[in-house]
Amino acid sequence: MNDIWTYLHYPFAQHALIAATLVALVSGLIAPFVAARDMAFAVHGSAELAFPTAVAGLLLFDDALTGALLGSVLVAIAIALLGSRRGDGNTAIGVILAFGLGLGVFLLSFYHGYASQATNILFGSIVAVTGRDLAVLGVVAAVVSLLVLVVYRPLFFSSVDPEVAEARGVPVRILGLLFVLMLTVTVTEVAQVVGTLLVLSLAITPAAAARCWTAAPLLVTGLSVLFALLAADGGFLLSLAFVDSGVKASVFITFISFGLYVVARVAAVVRRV
Amino acid sequence: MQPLRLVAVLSVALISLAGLTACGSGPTSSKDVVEVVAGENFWGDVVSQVGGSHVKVTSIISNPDDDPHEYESSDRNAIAIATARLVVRNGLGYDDFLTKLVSASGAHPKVLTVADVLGVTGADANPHLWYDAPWLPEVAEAVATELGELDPANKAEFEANAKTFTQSLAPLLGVIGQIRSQYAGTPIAYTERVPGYLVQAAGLTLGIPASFAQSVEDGSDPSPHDTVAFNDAIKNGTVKVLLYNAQVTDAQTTEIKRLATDSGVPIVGVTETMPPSYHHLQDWQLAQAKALLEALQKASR
Repeated sequence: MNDIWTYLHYPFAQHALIAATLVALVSGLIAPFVAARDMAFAVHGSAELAFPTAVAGLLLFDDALTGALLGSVLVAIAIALLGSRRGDGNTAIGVILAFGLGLGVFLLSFYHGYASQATNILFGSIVAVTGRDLAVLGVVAAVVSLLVLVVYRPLFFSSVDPEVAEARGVPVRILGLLFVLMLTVTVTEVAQVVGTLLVLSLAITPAAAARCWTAAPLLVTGLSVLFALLAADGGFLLSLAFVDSGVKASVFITFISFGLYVVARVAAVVRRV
Repeated sequence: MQPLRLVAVLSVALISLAGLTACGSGPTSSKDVVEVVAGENFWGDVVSQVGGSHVKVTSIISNPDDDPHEYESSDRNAIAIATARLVVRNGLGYDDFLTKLVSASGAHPKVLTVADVLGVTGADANPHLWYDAPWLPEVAEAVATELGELDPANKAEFEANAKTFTQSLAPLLGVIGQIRSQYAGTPIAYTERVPGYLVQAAGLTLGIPASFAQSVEDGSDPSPHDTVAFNDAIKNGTVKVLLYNAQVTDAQTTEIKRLATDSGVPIVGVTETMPPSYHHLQDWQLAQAKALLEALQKASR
């Protein structure tokens, strides 16, 4: 334990731990809705679409983060408009993703830097989180968490059973747009700061594991946040413990996340027997 | 409540696992040695040669099998940067991740940017500065100056080591001079600008569209026009040698390599990062320059 404690005195490690916690908190919060709405592909799509929007940001404002933030709003509106019919969503995301990646390659030809390194500027790493990144993450986490708490009940209702929710007067479409917006903003900003791999393993897997344990909405959300925190913070601490191996934190985080999922699946089978 | 209990057990298990595995070796830092982080192993090697036993160098990109374009920092590198007193980077966007790592580290090491030392700037400048043999002495001298400021007691030794380094470049510069005197103006082809400065120093010309190499570097497909021009140049033998990046290849460059073999155009594989089989930058560059010379000799036979 001594060593981890020593390493935690370095500012980069403190930044990484705070970033991991914030990312896990917000990812774990939205993950149950991602699972209920079957929107895992939207997470993947938004993470990849952070590339063209960040390049656009570099060209327009000389700042990838701003571009990604504005771009994620556009991506959310496009996903919500094109995929408004249930069952259409994944196809619409595929269409937008394909166009977006092409656009990114096109935009990159205007970027006069060492371009294959542009991806390096665009996507972060958990050990390279700056104070400014933390501020951005903190604001995103606070806004998204607050929104989720405010619309929690109608959002869950409309995610689980949109037809009945609509019949009861729940504004399903507006909630849908709001959720896609929260999702894309979270995913793109998180991808900017800590990398794409972490978003995928924190915004999808924890809820998938939580849903194996219970069906109670609040409990699913609580477990999902807990699993995300265990994976993110535990993974980073393990990477500090195994620092000499040179294995990256994202590897540990994805492994723990998947491990929790496997345990949940096995336990679900055992309980049924 | 059963699931929650299991979660609790899991988290305790995880934390104790972290605790158990933490009993490895700690950060080793000696007060007498200047800790230096280099973005890439070839610049790290220059620092080692100049600093000798007075420096401890950590090179971040050191494995030729790592794609430098998809680099993710490890904790080990972040720790090295947090304790470093000098960071040597290539610049020109090649290792921008270092800038981010340095600002995240909260430490304030001196930063030496090779591109600034050599005065290379501008849009789309070729970042592969370590292939520019005639200018390597400038880099060694700049490193000696920085190290001399951090460790004034050994200033003279650093300067002497930089001189030794410069002298050790003689065989490499000799081979480059030989190519220049025998083959200046000969058109060659490369799939990426990696050996661009070597080609320039040796007086060779590029016999394919420059935009082809640029596209490969940007990670996008070269245009059909460029691809046709490249293929024709090899098929018709208007280029005498093909240099390709042996480290980062894709379907298209592999196809070009095959075409060159079929058309009898000699191939020289170059790498972006120094392979572990070489101890020093100058040995590695010498081997590659010799391979280029041999290929040119073969082509003119």
